[in-house]
Amino acid sequence: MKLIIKEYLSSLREREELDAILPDLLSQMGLNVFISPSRGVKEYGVDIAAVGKLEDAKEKVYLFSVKSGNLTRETWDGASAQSLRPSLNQILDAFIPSRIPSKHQDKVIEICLCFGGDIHSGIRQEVSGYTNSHSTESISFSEWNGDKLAEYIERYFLREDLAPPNVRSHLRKTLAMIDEPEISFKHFQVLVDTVRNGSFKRQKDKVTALRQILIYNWILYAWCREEDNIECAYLACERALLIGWEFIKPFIGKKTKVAKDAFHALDALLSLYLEVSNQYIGKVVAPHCGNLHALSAAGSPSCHVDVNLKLFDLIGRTALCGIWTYWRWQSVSIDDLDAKKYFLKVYNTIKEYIIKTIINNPILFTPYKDDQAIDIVLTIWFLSLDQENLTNIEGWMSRIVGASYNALECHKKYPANLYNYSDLIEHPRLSTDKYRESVTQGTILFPYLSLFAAIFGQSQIYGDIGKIKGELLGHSNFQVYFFDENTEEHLYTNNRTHGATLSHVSVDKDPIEYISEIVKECGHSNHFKSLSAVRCNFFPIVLVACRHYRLPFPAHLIIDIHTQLNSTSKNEVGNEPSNEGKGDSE
Amino acid sequence: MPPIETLILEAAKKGDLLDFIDKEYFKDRNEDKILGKILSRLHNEGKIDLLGEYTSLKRESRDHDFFILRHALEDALPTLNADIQRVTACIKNLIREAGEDMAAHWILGPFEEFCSADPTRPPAVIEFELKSFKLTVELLSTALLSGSKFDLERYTDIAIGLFSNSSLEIARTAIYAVGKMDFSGNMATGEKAFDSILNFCTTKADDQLLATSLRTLVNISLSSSGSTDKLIEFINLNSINHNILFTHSAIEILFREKSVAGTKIESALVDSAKLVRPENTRSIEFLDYYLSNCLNNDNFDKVIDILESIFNNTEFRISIKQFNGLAQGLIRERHDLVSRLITRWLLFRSVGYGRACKELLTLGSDVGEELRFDLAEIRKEESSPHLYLAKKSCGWFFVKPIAVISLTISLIDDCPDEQLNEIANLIFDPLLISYSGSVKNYLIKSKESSDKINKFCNDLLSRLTTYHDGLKSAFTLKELIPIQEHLFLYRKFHQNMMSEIFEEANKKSIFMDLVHKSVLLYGNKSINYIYHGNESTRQEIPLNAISHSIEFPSLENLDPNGLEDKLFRFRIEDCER
Repeated sequence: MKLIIKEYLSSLREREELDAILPDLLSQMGLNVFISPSRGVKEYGVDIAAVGKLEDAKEKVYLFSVKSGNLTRETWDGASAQSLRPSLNQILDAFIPSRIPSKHQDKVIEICLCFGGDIHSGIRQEVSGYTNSHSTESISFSEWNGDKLAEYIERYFLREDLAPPNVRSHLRKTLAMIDEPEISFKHFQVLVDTVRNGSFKRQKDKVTALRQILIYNWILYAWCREEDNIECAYLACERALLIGWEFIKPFIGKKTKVAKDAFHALDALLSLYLEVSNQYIGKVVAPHCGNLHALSAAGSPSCHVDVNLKLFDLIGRTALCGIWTYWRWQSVSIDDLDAKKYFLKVYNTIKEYIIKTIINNPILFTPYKDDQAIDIVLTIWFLSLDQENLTNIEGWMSRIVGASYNALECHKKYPANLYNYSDLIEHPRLSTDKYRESVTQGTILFPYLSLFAAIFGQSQIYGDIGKIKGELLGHSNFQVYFFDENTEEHLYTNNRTHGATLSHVSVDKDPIEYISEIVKECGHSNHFKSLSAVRCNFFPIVLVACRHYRLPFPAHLIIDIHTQLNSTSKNEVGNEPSNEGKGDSE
Repeated sequence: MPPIETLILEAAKKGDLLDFIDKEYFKDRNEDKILGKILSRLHNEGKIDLLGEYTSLKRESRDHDFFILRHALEDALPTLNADIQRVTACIKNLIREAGEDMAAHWILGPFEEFCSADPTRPPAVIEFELKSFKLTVELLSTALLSGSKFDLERYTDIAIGLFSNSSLEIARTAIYAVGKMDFSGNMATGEKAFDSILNFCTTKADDQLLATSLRTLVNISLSSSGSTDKLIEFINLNSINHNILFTHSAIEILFREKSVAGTKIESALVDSAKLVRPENTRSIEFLDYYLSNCLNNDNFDKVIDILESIFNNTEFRISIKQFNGLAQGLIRERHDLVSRLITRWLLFRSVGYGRACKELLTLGSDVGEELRFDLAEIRKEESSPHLYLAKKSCGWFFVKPIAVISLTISLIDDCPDEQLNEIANLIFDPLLISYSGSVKNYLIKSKESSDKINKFCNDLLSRLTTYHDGLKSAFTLKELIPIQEHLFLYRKFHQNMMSEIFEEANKKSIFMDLVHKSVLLYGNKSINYIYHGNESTRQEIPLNAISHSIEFPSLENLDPNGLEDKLFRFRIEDCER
């Protein structure tokens, strides 16, 4: 295990990676962290500061200066201001005299040279010389290299009582199967479920479990990155974030130290999720979405079903990443103009990625599975945040509806209620109306597209969907899904079926009538608004659950668009996403 | 060894005459066919009752081969002296027992010789048949024909007399027989028969009668130019009724009767042939032979005229594929004519003609033949004809990439600049990116044709390079590799599908019916022993791999529905359905 952890540590980068894991490790070790990287930039050479007792049972102030990888001549005393030696000088010259909190000023100080790898033998002498010459009675130096960190991680997160042998085994299997992400993720799921289902005698134990999940996720991500395949890390982070939210639910509204620690751990999980998500989009989508068919042909698909499944999944992930960006743009203070500007820029970039992906991968006009509606609706909803995208949305929806009509009519690959890959590659097994009827018993795709078309006033598309229902899918249950009173309990873990479905919605009636029907039901089935993630203004977590567990997109958020469009006071500022109220139901 | 006569007599005595003939026939076969003559002599001498044996012969008997026995009688018949009534009864039995077999009526030849051997026989047969409870028309017509060789005028009159018989079948037989008579030495009699048939036909609307009459009238008129106009009038008058047999008859004459070629009669028959119906597959087969002959005689305008008339008359329910001989001849040897044909047909702006072009090219090689649009077919008033033709060729012939690219390249030099860009776009996507092997090679090969083509090809090749660079850059994305389980399931699905196709193909294979299949599990040579009596020869047969590869369009994998929709639009755009 130690080698696995060391390998992981050596691959971490300094900012937001190695120093992101350390505070949780130190907290788990019993130290009290009073400066953490989340505060912002390095304070006079210190990345992390903590106080407390370690093995020697003497209370000390620990000041960490963190570097990634091995400590080389360059990172020790190179030209860069980020080198370790100048940081240590700053600690001695500035931090210790002026920045130690008064209540800790009488304590012995230990300056920790922290790095994920080892010290190069060539500079060992110089480092020792430096620490010896600057050591005093009240100031000492210690080396926190990869070995030591790995030992601490193993001791505090993977010891027998926290991580029984089967957890360690699944962690090893997860890492061994990274190039077969579906198998790797299955092991990770078991790993997380084992941790989640452990016995938590004290609230603090839940925080420990959460930190464990975080560290496993980090280890997995680091290994995935080394293997140049972050697919499993992406899925694992989604799952971890959802389980993480389930963990912190009991702490909502509390201000105890344990609650703070729990929120801190969740924040770390969310940061990791966003990092992985951005990394995924940056690696997979960004460089290739502008090239015709590049994403379709990537990964050597066996057949067009592979391309279809992968591309709709991809577009859903990209849209979700965009929705998180929107959420971050929405969350930053209105006075923080730079942050606003930055997130707006990212939003527009992701929007461009999505449009290019659709244009250059025309298989995105032909869904094969009805539940690809989830990815399509995520994307349309994301794009609709900026009304300038309405033409693009209309173009895409129109092509989807047109192609679906043709496919249904000619018994080609049409959207069906098929979930099994074997069934999909043979679909349509027969070119008969009877077969078509058997695999299109229900649909969420067309009712959701219809709802968007009704809201955006796209009468041609709305009419075409009515035609599909009238001519080809008269037997099918056109339905819209709503969360119910059990959703909060099961949404984040997906341990039981929940929610309620409004059947036979009236897509064939007047658009206004259809919207009213859904608005009315949103009023009755109002459990979306009482979901903890929505109440705490973390509504994208609900969408992560929808994508991850393949649940339909919440109708309330679509109706929000309708409300927004009808509202007379619109917060349109230039090119900014125009629906500032979206997702902010309370 | 006793003489054969003795053996025959002994067999007849034992009641085994047919068994003996069955065995003896093969021994006799390669020599002078003396068996027939001996049988005939013994019958004439009253030593055996050959006719009696054959009159009771049944085909289903397992003891002997029915047709072998018939051959023996056919050898004997011309020299037989026998009562007409017994002979006709025997012949009728043999025809009836032969059923639908193609050889059923071969016995009529020897029967005609039998009738021609004695002038009293034809009138006797005629009289007997007319009185017969169940008429055998073949015997009646044979007798009339045999009689005409003794006395043409008399037997023509007998035949004409039979037109007024209450039985239409007898009238038809008489007309048929007249058609076989030789009037070359007595045209007046021929014209008399011609006029009688015409007069008779005006009173009857029976399709079979008219079809028979047509054959007879054509036969007579070929030796009498004076009757041509009346014949043409007859053909035109009856063609409009779209009678199946009449049309078939017209087509059969076109195919068989070379001497009508180039005459006015041929034109009239062609007009009739154009009315062939989709269900008359046999007529279409004959017409295919005729059209192939026209093609071989460089009469392609006539071929085009007939095909187009048939397509229009039947609303394309008759396909070019049904004219397999013609189509194969065009595709294999006359690319110049194919080019002309498809340019002409595509410019008709009709989906039916587009489909006909596609079906024509389907008969060619996997990648399609190198073709050129015939620019002379483009009319001045056509709107954007180059772009239109490029779209049509891509839409209809997409699975024949070399045909599409060669046709398109042939447009480039003459193409106005404003259409070039759009043509390049449709060649790039979907054609070039789908068939980046064969089409790319063709572009490289064509570059030197002219400056304009050079630029066109270079631009496309450069776009292809950029496209492939884009694909390559994403090729190694591990995140998008399909999951292992899916890869396995697809491989299994594909294998099953190929096995089913292979099995189906094996079922239809004539070759597989002829050979015994053995599976070799190891090695690459088969050892066989060939036995010759007590000796044997050892043979080692090395095994060879037989393979065939086709270029599968990559867009079928990347966007099949989109590709199909795009090709569909190319096909129907600016066309009548």
